[in-house]
Amino acid sequence: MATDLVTRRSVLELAIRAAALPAGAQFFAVWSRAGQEHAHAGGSSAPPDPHLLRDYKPSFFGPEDFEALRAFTEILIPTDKTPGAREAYCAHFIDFVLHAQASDDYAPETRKHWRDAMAALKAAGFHSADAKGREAVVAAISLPERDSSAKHPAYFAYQLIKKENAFAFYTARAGMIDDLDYKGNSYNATFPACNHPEHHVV
Amino acid sequence: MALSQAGMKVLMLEAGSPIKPARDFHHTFLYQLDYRGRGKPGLLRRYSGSERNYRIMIDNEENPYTTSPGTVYRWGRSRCLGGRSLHWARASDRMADYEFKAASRDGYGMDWAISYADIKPYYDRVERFIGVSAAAEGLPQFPDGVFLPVMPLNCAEAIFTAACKDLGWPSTHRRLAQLTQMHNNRPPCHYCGNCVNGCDVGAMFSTVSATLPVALKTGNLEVRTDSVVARVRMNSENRAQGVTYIERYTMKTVDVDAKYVILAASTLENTRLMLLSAKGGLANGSGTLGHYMMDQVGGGGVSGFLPKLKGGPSRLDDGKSAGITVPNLVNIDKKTARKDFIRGYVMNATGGQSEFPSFAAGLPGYGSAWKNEVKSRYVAQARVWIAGGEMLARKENFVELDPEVKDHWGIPVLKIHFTHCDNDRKLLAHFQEKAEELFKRAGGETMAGMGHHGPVGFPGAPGSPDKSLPDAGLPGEGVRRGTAASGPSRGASKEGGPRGGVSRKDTLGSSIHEVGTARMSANPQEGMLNSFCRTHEIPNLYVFGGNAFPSTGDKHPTLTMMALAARGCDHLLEQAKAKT
Repeated sequence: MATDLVTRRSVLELAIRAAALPAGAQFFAVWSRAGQEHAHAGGSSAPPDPHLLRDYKPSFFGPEDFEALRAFTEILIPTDKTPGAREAYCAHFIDFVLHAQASDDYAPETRKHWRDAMAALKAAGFHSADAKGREAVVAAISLPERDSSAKHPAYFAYQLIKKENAFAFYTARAGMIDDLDYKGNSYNATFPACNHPEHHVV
Repeated sequence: MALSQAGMKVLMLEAGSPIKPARDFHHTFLYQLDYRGRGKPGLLRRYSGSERNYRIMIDNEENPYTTSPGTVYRWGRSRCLGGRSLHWARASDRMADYEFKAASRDGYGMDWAISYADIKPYYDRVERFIGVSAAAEGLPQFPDGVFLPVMPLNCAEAIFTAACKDLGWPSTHRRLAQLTQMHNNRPPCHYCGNCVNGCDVGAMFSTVSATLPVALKTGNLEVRTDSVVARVRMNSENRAQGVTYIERYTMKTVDVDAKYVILAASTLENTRLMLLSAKGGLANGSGTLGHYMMDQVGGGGVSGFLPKLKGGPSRLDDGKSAGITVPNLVNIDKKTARKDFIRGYVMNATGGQSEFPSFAAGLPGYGSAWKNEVKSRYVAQARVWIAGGEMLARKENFVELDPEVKDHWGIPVLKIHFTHCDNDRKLLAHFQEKAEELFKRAGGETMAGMGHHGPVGFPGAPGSPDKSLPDAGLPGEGVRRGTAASGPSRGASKEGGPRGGVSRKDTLGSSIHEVGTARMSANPQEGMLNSFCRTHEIPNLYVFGGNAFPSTGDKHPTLTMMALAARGCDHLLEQAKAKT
């Protein structure tokens, strides 16, 4: 069986030989530890969240726009049975990257696009609405996505925030590991073969 | 390696920095990076690749190239010890005999100066050393070799394999220089999926993990990194005297002499050096130096989801960064001959979980229902892409020295003239038709806007530079697991290349499989190199890489490049022995 390619004997042989290689011992220590963590930590050996943005102070958007952006991202990707945009600090990440661009005077058209987007949201009444009202605004401005005949002046803002929010969420540990349960980037002794008979016939 | 093992004293000059896998390569999750793989603003316009692997790519500002108006070509490059072997796709397919004799079969171009029988022993030797995991299939268009055990199929690959069987098409696991067992003191793959970011344990073949350690152990190899070779120097007896290089940081010029000079700086850099070394180019009596540039046809493909996999559990689908291969189906024999185009192509297919759900932003909706739908589809992603399609050799595709632009060291850069012909387009159109047929038979549902060029991290994958240039910018395209593709050239924008108004529909994608520009020929009047990759005109100058290819074939070229190098080394050793 293909899944038995790495036998106990070959692993032992491998360990002895590779431990003698530069960094071999370190590799096997990590591999071995990863395997144990995988077995005991509910399935993921991914490293913990370094929380790079937990203490980040928004610098690109003003307080009003940032609060609106954060609320918008949390409506798009809510916290439910798994973490959402809030736990992933999506609005913080968007601000962080835009601020870095501004610091380097890079891609000014992108920053203008974001300023325009927040202005469009404000004009649509998102900033001043309460929680229920904000849900209604998002439903209204996203309508063209569901109905190609519909139009809304803030639809571009919805598209922009949705795209970047999805990036920020699924590249955060909250999205990648806690929600999607990504298994890669890990040390594995074997590759899991498909053993589903229904996949081997059309 | 072969030369140092035979007792020759070898000096290797590397233009880039030293690399040590255990020190330089790590498993890094995107959330551990400030910019989640996109890099600091502007970084990935200067460098190629991603925030994780740009150090093993190239500094485009230091190393520009230019393109002619009408050319859309992105030259994927690396400048470091190990070069592109550090992040290649590992595809190790043997060319079949019909590819070496393509011109005799269909009347176009020039046959190779060797046959499959000539190179077979060297394929064997290379495979034995580097380790290729694969299954023997007994197909004439896809010759078997010396293989390690094949890797298992993931669920999507099993579904595509069943679809191929149903269509009556052959298929097999991709043949990869990626170990499935301990081999020549290198450990097996641990299925992390980080191949294009540099393998931390050397389970995938690279020169720094495989050939260089063996060569260094002989005590006969000296490696000088950060040494930018500027030209080959000749003596009065029409022999290469040695080379001149510039120390990368001090800018000091150094001459070194040698009995034999081997250019192995990658295909187009080899040609650049020959163009730099003599007026009209070194050893260029045939007038073919720089001409007949090719790069396998890329682009097209299908992407979407496999309903059978929707809503399933998360699995390590992208851990081997692989897929299945559908060997060439056309123009193999009379039965498969096409009237509308010549030559062939190879398809790949894979699917399942990936590091980043690039389709998510394009999926309508939001809220918990959207989130659940993303998760359901995340494990069901699927794509078919072209592994390599033969591009015809045409003299009008060529490289020359740019008369104005120089690199950081004051060395003239290459100017690339590169377009596709109708045959290339028709071949790609046929691939597209067959890719859609396969996807449909597998039960796939397509989705517009998804990348379809292979597992994330492959050239053309979602977020890779030849897909778009997101840099650190917003709105970005996606995540780069890492790619081998280069960013835009400085000259390209200046002269109307990638950013200069040429419509993308007029050009096809490429595969970073550039070959040709110093082709081999039986007749010295028709090419630069003999069948051993030695220049016809200079008896001690060899050129290893893809330069010798008179045609691209439909297979990935790297294994053939390695076999040609091994064969050339044998020839060099025989010549040296005869001389003494």
